[in-house]
Amino acid sequence: MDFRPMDSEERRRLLEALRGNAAGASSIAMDPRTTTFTGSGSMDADAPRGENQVIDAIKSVPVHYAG
Amino acid sequence: MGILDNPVSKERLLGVELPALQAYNSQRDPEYRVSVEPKGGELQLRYRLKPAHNVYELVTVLPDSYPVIAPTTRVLTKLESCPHLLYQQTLCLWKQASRVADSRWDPARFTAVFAIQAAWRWLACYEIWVVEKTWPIPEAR
Repeated sequence: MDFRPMDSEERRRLLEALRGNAAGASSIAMDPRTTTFTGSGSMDADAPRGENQVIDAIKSVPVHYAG
Repeated sequence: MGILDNPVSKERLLGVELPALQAYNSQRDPEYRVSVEPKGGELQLRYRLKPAHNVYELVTVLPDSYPVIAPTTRVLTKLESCPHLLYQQTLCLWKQASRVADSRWDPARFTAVFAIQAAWRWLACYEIWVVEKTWPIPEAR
């Protein structure tokens, strides 16, 4: 595979989302068609699901990398 | 005894796992849907994930004693050698000996879809690791 890296701003956003999620502060959202990262959001269990589906697992799945 | 011969596993598959996988697939483009194939006594889930700009092919195996025994996930796309990557590109996703509940596979709380999404998170970390050579989130306790 010819690896195509994210640019620095894309990497910063993803890094913040992953760390916020590991700290239990936010969930991670992806494009429901392609699974591509789109942002992070509230951990509210009842938050409405919009066009970008919140990945429930990223809120509650066991984490090898728990903070 | 295979996963489809085990009454407990079969009930779990029909009642929980397959509906969860159908929900997962419902909004995906065809190339990102999960396909399910029996192989030996196990079930293999084959799918693609694209956390950023790169597409990865993966297989998650539900063993014959699933869900008591956790699923395992391998990346078929060639990766660089990196942290949390085991033999044959198997992802280290949970820490079974951990005393922290959220670091262990819990069959009462998690499904195969959760395993897929844990793989997504692993790949997101990998995408950052390739550039920065630092795993972006802390180790499990």
